[in-house]
Order: sequence, then structure tokens, then C-alpha cells
Amino acid sequence: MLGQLFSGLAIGSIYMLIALGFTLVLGIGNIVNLAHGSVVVTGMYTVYELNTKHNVQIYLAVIVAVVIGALLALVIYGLAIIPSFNRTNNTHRDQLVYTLLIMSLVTAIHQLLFTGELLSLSFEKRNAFIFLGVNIERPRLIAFIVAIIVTCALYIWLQFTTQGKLLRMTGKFTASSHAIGVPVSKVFLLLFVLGGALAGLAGGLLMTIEPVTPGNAFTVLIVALLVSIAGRLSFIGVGIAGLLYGIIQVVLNSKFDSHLATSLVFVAFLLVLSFERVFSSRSGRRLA
Amino acid sequence: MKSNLSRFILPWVVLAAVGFLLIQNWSSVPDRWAPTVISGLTLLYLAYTWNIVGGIIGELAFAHMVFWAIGAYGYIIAAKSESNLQLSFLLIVLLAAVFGGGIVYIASALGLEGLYLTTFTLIVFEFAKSVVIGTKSLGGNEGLLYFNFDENIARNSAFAFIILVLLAIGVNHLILSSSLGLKWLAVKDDETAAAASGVFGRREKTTAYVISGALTTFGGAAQAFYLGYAQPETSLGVGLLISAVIAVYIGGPGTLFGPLFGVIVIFGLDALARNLSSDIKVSLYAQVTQYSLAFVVFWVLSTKAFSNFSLSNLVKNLFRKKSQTWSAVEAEGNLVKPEETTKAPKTQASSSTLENAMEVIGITKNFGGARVLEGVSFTIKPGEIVGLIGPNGAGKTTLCNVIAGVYKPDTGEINLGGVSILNMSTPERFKFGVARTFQAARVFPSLTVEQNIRLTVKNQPNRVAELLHEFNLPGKQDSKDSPMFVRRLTEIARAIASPKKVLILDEPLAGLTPTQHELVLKSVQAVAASGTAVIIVEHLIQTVAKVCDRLIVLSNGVLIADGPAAMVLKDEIVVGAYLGKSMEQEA
Repeated sequence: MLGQLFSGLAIGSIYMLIALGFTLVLGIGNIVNLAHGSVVVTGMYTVYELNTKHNVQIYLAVIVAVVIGALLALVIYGLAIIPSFNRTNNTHRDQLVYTLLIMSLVTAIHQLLFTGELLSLSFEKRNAFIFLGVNIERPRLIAFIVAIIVTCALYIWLQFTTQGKLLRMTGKFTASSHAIGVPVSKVFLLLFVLGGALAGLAGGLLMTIEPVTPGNAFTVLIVALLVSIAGRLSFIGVGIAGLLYGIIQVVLNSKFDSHLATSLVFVAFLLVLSFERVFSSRSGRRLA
Repeated sequence: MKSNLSRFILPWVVLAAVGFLLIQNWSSVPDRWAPTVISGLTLLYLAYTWNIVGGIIGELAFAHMVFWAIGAYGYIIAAKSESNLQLSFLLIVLLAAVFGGGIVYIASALGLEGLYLTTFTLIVFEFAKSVVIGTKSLGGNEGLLYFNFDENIARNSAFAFIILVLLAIGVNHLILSSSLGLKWLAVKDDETAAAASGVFGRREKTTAYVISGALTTFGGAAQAFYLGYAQPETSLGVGLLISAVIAVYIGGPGTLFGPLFGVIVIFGLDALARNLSSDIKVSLYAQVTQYSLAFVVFWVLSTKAFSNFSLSNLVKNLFRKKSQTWSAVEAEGNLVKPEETTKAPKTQASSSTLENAMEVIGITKNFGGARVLEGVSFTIKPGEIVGLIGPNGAGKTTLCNVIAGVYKPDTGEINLGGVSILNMSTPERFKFGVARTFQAARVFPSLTVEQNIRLTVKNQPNRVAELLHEFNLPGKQDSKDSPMFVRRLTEIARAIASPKKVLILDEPLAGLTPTQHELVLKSVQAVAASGTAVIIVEHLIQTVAKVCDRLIVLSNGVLIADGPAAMVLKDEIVVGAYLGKSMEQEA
């Protein structure tokens, strides 16, 4: 049981990173990026390629994945997000289509470069040690520690530094920030690139635990959407939802057949969604 | 009438002819092309059925593969058990209808829209997929097999898909050329304004999902028939849906030919590549090129220069005579009819002997701890024009929203002709006789001026023409290109197209020139003369006071004055409320 809890925490902390990147961009910048999963998968392939073909040390490769993720986000921002701002209405709809196209494009490119097969690292996966009677795999432990440190650092930066506060305020009061001389477009660009870097990091860490196929882009996107929305786009909410998702998934997977487990997770999310709806409608602003 | 009929029948004749020609000439298609042609037709069919929900009524829904799977698995199960195919299809369609209705019901009960709705449909899709994979009787990952040893299977499948695609185009045409299309495009553009025009959003969405879902099942069945199996990979593969969604958006969502052009853009190259080489890499390179091309196409189309441009509009314009040009100046020039420049006589209907058109009794409304309206009561008679004025934040717009059914008051009562309307929804209130316009004129940009008005007309064939003439509006013009003035008048005409007891105008003069003020007020007087009670919310008090029988003044949610304009405007309390005297006293 303790072992499952740990496994779940490790995978959950990566889900948390994935969803935080998505939430930053959506919650602060009000930008929808359906290609977020593609950035994560690109991070995974980066680590795979560097480690297996070029013998780069695995965590060095993860750092490269962060850079690649940020660069890819930069490209997506230029190609897809800036044009969507040019439209006065339906910005979200345009972003959805643009980023959906990019997701399809990147998936096709992944397939070209790495074939459609399941790839995994031959990395010292069994490199485990016993702690408190629990078998702990080193990559999971490292992934968990890195994810927690990055999340805390990000939280402190956003919550307590002038820069972070300015960033949040720019999202909330875009027009007024523009009026007092905040370079709004640069702030959004920074936000988007930061989201990409987080996705790259999450992908790199995920590769040390799980195998990859091009189709993962969609699965990862669903994780990002579910966790962000269940966490109501708040930093702490998303963090908790991500960790819980990981734990619930691992626990259910050990108790039931994996597909039943997946179904149960979705039912749980539906319940969360409806509870939130009931809770938020207490204020009674809408007539049913 | 006759031209309408021929315009309606012509597309069906064309579709039938195209289908006949395609089927007649199938033998000239090389055998090795057949799989590509069929996968192209599959995508085209899904694009058209998805267009009904995703394009016309504008819900970016991702649950369509579930309908597809219902069709695919349903067909295989029926074929295996050798049961009656017609009966099976009836069951399949019924199941799809229940599922579609369920999605709309749950989404609306949870109040999901936009990105939340998209996420919800994604969850439903993933949930269904894991259930299917986890169900042993559905064969798990391997799916269900029913191999058909028909040597003409490719030909027959292609015929089935050709007929299905033509059917789907026909249904799209039927919807777009009927009143359903007007309502659905209105819901897509602006659900709140649609509700205020008597359109029941949930009902329309349910219809759209049921029609679209039922059609989609046939696609799944035809695919399963062709492949000889139903598998999660093919029958529940999200890739096909994503391609269809992209195709619809590139070609022009909610248009008749949009999905066709979109599919050509995103599938043409890939199809060619698949026939030139069997190497998967060639097809992948083609896909990369294709998606890049699609990206560029969408990019060009969404730049400002092309904001009114879509592939299907381009084709439409090629066949249509250049649309009439229109300018605000012309509009104003046309509207001043010489015989009407004299002040319209005040209607006699406002005499106190008549029954009240509407009674508002003791309305109180709190938002959280903030009291926005406190015990507001007034009455209005048929044909009366009442100005609702007050400083910013006095609660004017909230009062309008309470009357129109956007908010439910905490206490109080609203009667229309002696009947309480508090428990009616916005569309019900509209049908019962409460119409309203919005602060920023909310016309439906997907519809022309004429269609905007037609939306609310019931069983009166000449009414639209009458209104266009009365308000002197350019019917054929796209409403999104119209000047503010035209949009404002369109909105008023739409509100009163069928007889209304009460009309609420929220700042009808904002953003217009003084000449235009006169024209709008003249129209308002004409509406009142027909017996409708009119409430005008306005900041331009002197301008509206000329046409108002009474002024009602709100301040901090309390009604502080109600009476003839000349009297109310001299009232000390009213002047104090406007000039902030009460605040000085408090200080």
C-alpha cells in the first residue's frame, strides 16, 4: 500500500507539472493550448533520442528537454497564438483549431522520426532501494523531488515576488496593465514559454518512468485538461488534483482491471465537475 | 414562392445527379484507389455530420466517435446474430438519440460551456472508450469481427458512403434552409441574445445532437461493414474526428460546402501520396505537408483582411451577383421620410382607464451581500413609453435583467396582464410578451439583417418584408458588416416582429448621432402606437424625455421618483441623486 502511494505520488507529481504548465497559460493568459501534450511528448522523445543514440547522461538530457520544450512553445506562440489575437471574437475557438492542427502536425513528425512504436529507456530502471520497507525506484524518487521543488519555486515566485505579482495582474487586468506601461505581449510570451518549459520538464521526467508513443500527445492533453479544470485553474487546486489523480490511478489500477480503473477515474472527475457546479451555483447568479 | 421552391429542390436534384454519375462511373476507378477513396468519403461523411453540431450550432464537441462506435459495434453485433437489420438500425439510432440527448442534458444541468463543454465531451469519449475496451463481450482491444466474403465489398462500401455523404449534405442543406438553421446559428453566435429572441437553447441543442448523432452512427456502421470489424482503434479513434473538426473549421463551420473544401485541403495530398507509394513514410510526409498547408490556409483566412472570407463564401460569391453596397450615410438618408418629419401624435392608449400591461411589485435582488434592488414597484400601461433613468450603478440594467428573466429576484412579483411571469425562462417570457434589446446591440453576425428578423416571425409570410420597409433596413446585408445604427434598428425590429406586451430598450441611443437618435425614437413611438408598452433605459435624459409619457428614477436600487418628465426632472431628490448631494450629506 505504501509502495502504491509512493508510485502514485511520483506519477502524480509529473501530472501536476503538466497541468500547471497548461493552467499558467490558460488561467493567467486565457490562452488554450491543445498542443500542450505534443510539447510533453517532444520532451519525452528528446530524452529518448539523447540517451539511447548519443549516450547523454539522462538528467542532462532532461535539462535539454526543458530547453526544447520552451523553444517549441515559442514557435507555437508565434505560429498559432499571435494570429488568434488578431481576431476580435472567438479567440478561444481559433486557438483550439490552430493548436489542434499543430498537435496533428507534431504527431505526424514524431511518427516520421521515431515510428509509431512504443519506445522506452533501457536505463537502470530496476535501480531500486528499500526505504521503510518500501521498494523505491530511483527515477521515480528523483522525478518526485524535482517536480515538488520546481512547483514550490514557481509558487513562491508567482505569489511573493514583484515579477510574479505583476505577471498575475497582467492576466487579470490586461488593459489596465497595458495602460501603466507593462509590456503585455512580452509577458504573455514569457508565460507561454514558461508553460512550454514545464511541459518539457514533465516530458523528460515522464520518459524516465514510462515508455512513449506519438499517440501519447492526446492522452497527456486529456490529463492536462482534466487536472486543470478539476483544480479550477488555481495553483494549489491544480497541484492537489494532479497528485490525487496519480494516486487514485495507481491504487485503482492495482485493485481493478486497468480499463475499469480508467473508467472509474473519469467518473470521479465527472463527480468533481458536478460538485463544483452545485457549489458555485449557491451564489445564485444564474436562473436555471 | 415558386423561386423559393425551386431553390429548395434544385440542390436535391443536383445531389441525386452527382450520386448517379459517381455510382455509374465507379468501374473507371482503379481497384487500388478504392481504399483511399473510401477513407476520404469516411472523413467527408463525419465532417458533414459533425458540422451539424460543431458548425451550425457551434458546440466544439468531441463525443462524436461514441456515436460512430454505437453504429459500428451495433452493425457487427446485428450482422453476427443475423437479426433483422432494419430493426437493429432502429435500435442503434434510438440509442444514439438517447446518448445525444443525455450529453446535452448533463452538460446543461452542470452549466458547462466553451472549454468546459469541450473537456466534458472529451471525458465522455475517453470514458466510453475505456468501457468498450474493458467489456469482454465487445472483444476488448481486438474488437468484434464479422468477415464479409463479398468480392464487391469495396464497391458496395463506396456506394454506401457516396449515398451517405449525399444524404448528409442534404440534411445540412435542409437545416440551413429552414427555420432550424436560423435558430441554431443564432444559438452559436450568442446564446443569451437567442434566448431573448425566444429560442430555447437546450431544446435546439438536443435536436442538433440527436440528428447529428443518429447520422453519425450510419458512418460507423458503413465503416465496420467495409472493414469487417469494429475495433476501438478504428471505431473509437480520435484521429478521424480531429481531422473532421479541422476540415470543418478550415472550410467554414456551419456552411453547406465548408466541410467539402476542408476535406479536400486536409486529405487530398495524403490521398495522392497513398496511391503513389505504399511506404508509410511517403504518406507521413504528405500528412506533414498537408497539415502545414491547412495551417497556412487557416492563417490567411483568419487575418483581418480576410475576416469575412471563407472558402465557402468565396465560392458563394462567385455565383452571386455583387451584393449591394451600403453605407451609414445612405441609410440615414433613406430613413428620413418627408411625410414623417412632423412629430408623431401621442398615442391615446396611455389613458388611465386601461388595464396595466405589466405590474412590477416589490422587487428585491441581492448579489451576495450587495443589495442591488430594494422593493422596486411600478406599473406600465399598453402603448405607454416610460424612461428608466438613474446614475451609474443604480440598478437599471439589473431591473431589466430581472424582468427579462436573466436573474430571479429574491422577493417580489412581476405580472403581465394579470399572469405572474416569474417562473418562466427567458425564451418563455419572450413568447409570452416580454422583448428586450441589449446595451451593445446584439444581432447575430452569422445571419443577414433579414434573417435576424425572420428568426422571431411566426406564420406571417409578409411580416419580414413589412418590417424591413417600416424600418427601412437593407435586408440582404450581412448584419456583422452593418453600421451600429442599422444593427440597433434590426435588434428592435427583431424584438417586436411578433406582437409584444412589453419592450425593454437598454440604452438604444448609445453611440449614435443626434439625427439617428430622432430616427430610433420615431421607430419607438411607432411601436408604442401599436399598443406595446415601452421601457427605455437611457442616460440621455433630455433626448428621451421628449417621447416619454413618464420617467422612473432609480438610485442605489430604490425607486425615488415616478411621474411626468417635467415634474420628475425638477424633483430635488432626483437632482440630488444625480449630482451626488446625498453623498455630501453622508460625508
